[in-house]
Amino acid sequence: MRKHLRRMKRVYGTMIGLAWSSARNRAAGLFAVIMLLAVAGAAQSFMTKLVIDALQAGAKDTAITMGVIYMVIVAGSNSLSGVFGLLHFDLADRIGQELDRRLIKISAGLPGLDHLERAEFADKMKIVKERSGIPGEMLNMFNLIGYVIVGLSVSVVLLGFIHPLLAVLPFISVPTGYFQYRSNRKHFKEFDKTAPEERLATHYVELTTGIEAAKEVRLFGLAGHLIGAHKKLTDAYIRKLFLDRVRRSGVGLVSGLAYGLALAGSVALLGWLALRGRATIGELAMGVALARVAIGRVEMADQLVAWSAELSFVGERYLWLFDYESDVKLDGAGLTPPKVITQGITIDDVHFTYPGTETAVLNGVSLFIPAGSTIALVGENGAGKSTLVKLLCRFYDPTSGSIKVDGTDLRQIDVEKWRQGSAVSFQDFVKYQLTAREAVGVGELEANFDGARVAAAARQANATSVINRLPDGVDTQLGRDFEGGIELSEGEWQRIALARGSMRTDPALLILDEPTASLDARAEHAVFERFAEMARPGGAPPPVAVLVSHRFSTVRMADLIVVLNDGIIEELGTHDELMRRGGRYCELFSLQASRYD
Amino acid sequence: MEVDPKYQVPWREELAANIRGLWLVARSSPWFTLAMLLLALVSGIAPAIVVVQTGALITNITPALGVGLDSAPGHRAQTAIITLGIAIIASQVIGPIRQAVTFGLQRRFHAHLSRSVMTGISDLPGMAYFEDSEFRDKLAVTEWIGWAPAQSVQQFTGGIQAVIQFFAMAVVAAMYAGWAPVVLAVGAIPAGIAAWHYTTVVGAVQWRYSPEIRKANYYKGLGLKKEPGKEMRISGLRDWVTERQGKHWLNGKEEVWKKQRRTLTVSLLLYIVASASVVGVYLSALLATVDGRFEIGAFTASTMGIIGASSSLIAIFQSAAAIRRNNYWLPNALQLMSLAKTEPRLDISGTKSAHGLAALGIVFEGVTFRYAGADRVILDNLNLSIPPGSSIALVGENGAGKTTLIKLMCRFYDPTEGRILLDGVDIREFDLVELRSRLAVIFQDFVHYNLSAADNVGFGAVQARADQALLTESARRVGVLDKINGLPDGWQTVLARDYDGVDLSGGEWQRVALARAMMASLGRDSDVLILDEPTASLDVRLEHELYEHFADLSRGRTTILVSHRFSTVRMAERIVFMQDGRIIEDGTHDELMQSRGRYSELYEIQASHYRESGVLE
Repeated sequence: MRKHLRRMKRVYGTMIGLAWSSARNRAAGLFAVIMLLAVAGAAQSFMTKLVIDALQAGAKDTAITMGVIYMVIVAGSNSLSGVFGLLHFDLADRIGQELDRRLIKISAGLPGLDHLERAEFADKMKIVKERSGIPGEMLNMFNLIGYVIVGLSVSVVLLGFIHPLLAVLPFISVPTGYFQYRSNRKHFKEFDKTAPEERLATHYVELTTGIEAAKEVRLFGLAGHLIGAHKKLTDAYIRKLFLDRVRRSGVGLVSGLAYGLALAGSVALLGWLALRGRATIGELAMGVALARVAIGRVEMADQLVAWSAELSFVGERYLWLFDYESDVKLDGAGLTPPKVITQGITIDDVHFTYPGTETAVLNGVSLFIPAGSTIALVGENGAGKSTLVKLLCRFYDPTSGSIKVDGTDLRQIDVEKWRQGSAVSFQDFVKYQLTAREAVGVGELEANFDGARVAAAARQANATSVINRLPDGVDTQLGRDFEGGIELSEGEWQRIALARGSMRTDPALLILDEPTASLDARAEHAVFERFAEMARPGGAPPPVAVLVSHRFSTVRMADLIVVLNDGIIEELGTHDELMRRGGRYCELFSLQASRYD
Repeated sequence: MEVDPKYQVPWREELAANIRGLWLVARSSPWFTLAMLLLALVSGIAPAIVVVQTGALITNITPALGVGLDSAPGHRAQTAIITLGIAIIASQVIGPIRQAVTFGLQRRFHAHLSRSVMTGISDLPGMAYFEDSEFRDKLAVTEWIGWAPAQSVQQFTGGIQAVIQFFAMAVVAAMYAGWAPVVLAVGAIPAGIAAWHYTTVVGAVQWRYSPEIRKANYYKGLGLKKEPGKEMRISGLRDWVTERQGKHWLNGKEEVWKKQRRTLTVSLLLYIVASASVVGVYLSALLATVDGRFEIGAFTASTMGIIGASSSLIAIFQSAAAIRRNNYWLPNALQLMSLAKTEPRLDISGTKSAHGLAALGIVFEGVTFRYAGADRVILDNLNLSIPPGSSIALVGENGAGKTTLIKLMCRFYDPTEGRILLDGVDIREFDLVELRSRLAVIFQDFVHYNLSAADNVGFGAVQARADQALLTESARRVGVLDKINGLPDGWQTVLARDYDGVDLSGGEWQRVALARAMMASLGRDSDVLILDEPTASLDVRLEHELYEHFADLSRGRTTILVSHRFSTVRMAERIVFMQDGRIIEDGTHDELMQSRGRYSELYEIQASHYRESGVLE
């Protein structure tokens, strides 16, 4: 219980701080308006009484004056509550945006990749995404608390003047609030369980309506199956949630009964008092109205409690995401990496298993990559090549063993700076739906999308012809997502991606991870030429260059070829050495070469 | 406060959409809908009884005080108290039940609406719509309206309740004068205008600025999604993406807020005007009472009716406005749902059966193709004939039009000019589903289904996907059977780590996709085999194995192979070299090498690296 309270304190503290920082003036203004409405609600009942009392006393002028004041309050509060919804429109928006901003910062800022592949992280994301409006509503909740307190105290005081019992009756339902809260918390926990299923349902929708799978869905006639699977899935989890809700409505029924009894009791008591002549008609009219106000407020209070169960459910998940600890720990020394690698990279007995899985991908890899050398990683699909690359980028830390750069453990080096010194092209590159200039330029933000830099990078990656063919040249929007965008072919996209990878002109580490899968022979050749050039002693100090490829024509250019098999290094050497050795490399090379006879 | 007509939905269309929306709600779950309506009725009537009975109580008290409890007015007052109690308790108890039913109905409706859109989109026979940014806009908007239409269910029942309440209040207000409710109803019209106007302005403005919000969402996706994760980190884009997202979001929202703020003043004025009728009717009743023309008890009761009638009218308008706001984009979604029927953008009148064709020869006859709205000619008067059972390889530099040719063969688009024949018949004359069932295709950008290995392979022949022997055989032929059997849950393993499954490497995925094409070929009599870059990520041994088995795989099947790997290209009997949408060379490998054209030039680039090694010399 205490732990729960502490956690809630943090949830609310964070959320309030957020609301306050994103829109304090609006929040305060809104609070003032709702307080006004709360007072006006009780004042209306009181004015009814004053008018009727004046009428019964025959004080005509007073009655009319009071009537006019009453009407001013009615007109005022009607108008204010009419536009009340309009007053806070941007507040919830702003709070939602602030939360989004934080999520982006956190998700994109976590140094590792694991969270993006982790079901639990995705589930929590799904939950907060579906309820992104809830934290915005929280502000409303605080306003309503004020509304309840003011409305309740004014009406209870006035009711007490008629009969003390009337002041007590509204509160008989209060204890049920606690049970409602508990029941609701349990109900919301159900959504943790259905989140994976809801994500899968979204996947079915995306497969059927998105462009990515559109071709296969049509060709293989998958729509019927996918829609059927969606129905089966959603029917099942909606049923589960609904039944849980029904099971829990018992608590709600008891509360409802309590409100009903309190109100009915108050009205009966007032009626009885009036029939006995112990309450005036004015008091009866006011009493009935006030009892409704008071019990309505108590009911609202209970609802707020129930509502807070949802808010804390969402809030806790936000905090879970905010607090997420990456598997890549940032508690190292944060050293600045060398601008140029002078000794080399030492991979020392590295073992690696993806978090949450059982199969080891790397089983003790040891390797020294001398400064300025080019190495090629070869091996069959699933041998661990891309994983080793990911470790070099420090998307993950090794499960055991270490990677050292010029003798310094990579874990001690500032991860962002390390990456800044790396130029990497991936097999599964991103098709940025931006202008060509931006899609290339994001490879090095410091170049500020400079035309000359972008053009130079494009030239290096043989992407100049792709860009020249675009209607607005380098400022053409790419992709289909936005208006006026030009869709590229797979190979053209890949050239843009390679140009992006060429934006960093003097990296300490260059990695090409199967970067030519969709390239034609000429473009492929150009990429490999660049790779080969890295090896040659030129003006600038050469980076350590790592190539992953199934194209042995390129692989052979490397200073050192590493043959990976089942997560261990099977062979190591230059092309000539390995050919002489007659092992797996020789076999695979000959296999490929035989096809070019 | 002008609204650009381009963004305004005609009211007729809106009304029709709302009515169809209600119909969809009912269709999504008839029983829930019925229960919901009944509960709305009861929860409208119970408070109405409370109002009427409170009026009865108050008016009977004064007479009862004069003659004692055991009199007609006394009895009436007592009955009123009892009825009041019952009505109050009933209206309170019904709340939780209604909430549960609303919850169920909303969720079911939301899922149903999603499926209706899924059906509508997947019914679109071709791919032309996906090139259309207006369509993509609408699709994106439909996606992010999310729960809004479902929410209108609640507002609809709230509206019903308010209507019932208004009539009850009107009865009580009529105690003063028959014209009172009429004046109140007419007088409230400005409030209705305010609510209506607000939704019009805001709905239209939001629509106009939706591209900005979509951009914001795009950047958000870059930050949150799995796929861009690696590049985001290497390029260090966190702050850049956050900043861009914020900028576009603000661009989109600020304009909306500005409009909203402007409507605020007007709305407030309109509400004040709408209050005039309440004030008027009340003061007239008060003056009548002061003058002794109206009784104090009756006055007290009718006051409740007068005030109550006006606030229930406002509640009605606000429910209507909320429904309208939530359903503002519903016409848009409904349009998407019926596009396939109204404007399929692909002629689907063909009915000829594609089963039992004798020989699946393919002929491209003067085919020219341009994407709709684009100037660039992708295929330029292309002629190509592929005899039945033979195999060809399409070669050419990036952007030569190879993949487009395949897309036309699958009839995702129709040629701008010219025609494509299968077994001598224009493919437009075939029944589309049957035509496609004759094709087994692996696309260059094949899909990674976040589903089981069995689904990932079985989707090639979805009707036969439970056939384990077929699955096994398909996987075996492309060398991925051992991998699948070795997965933690075998064929049932989900191929996505973020769905509590496992991830495959790039080459392993490619083999799964190949197995899917195999499944199509074996499982549904698909005798035309189309392989677009099937070996891009395959390791040497697998590429070689595919090469070895290719003759076997393609035997008796007309095969089109696209690849940049000349080692792969040579699997085909004949090679066709494309450039700028035309065929410039056509022949066997040896013929093309002898003619020393573009093919031999590119081939040499790749082959030279192997020769230098000395292995071949």
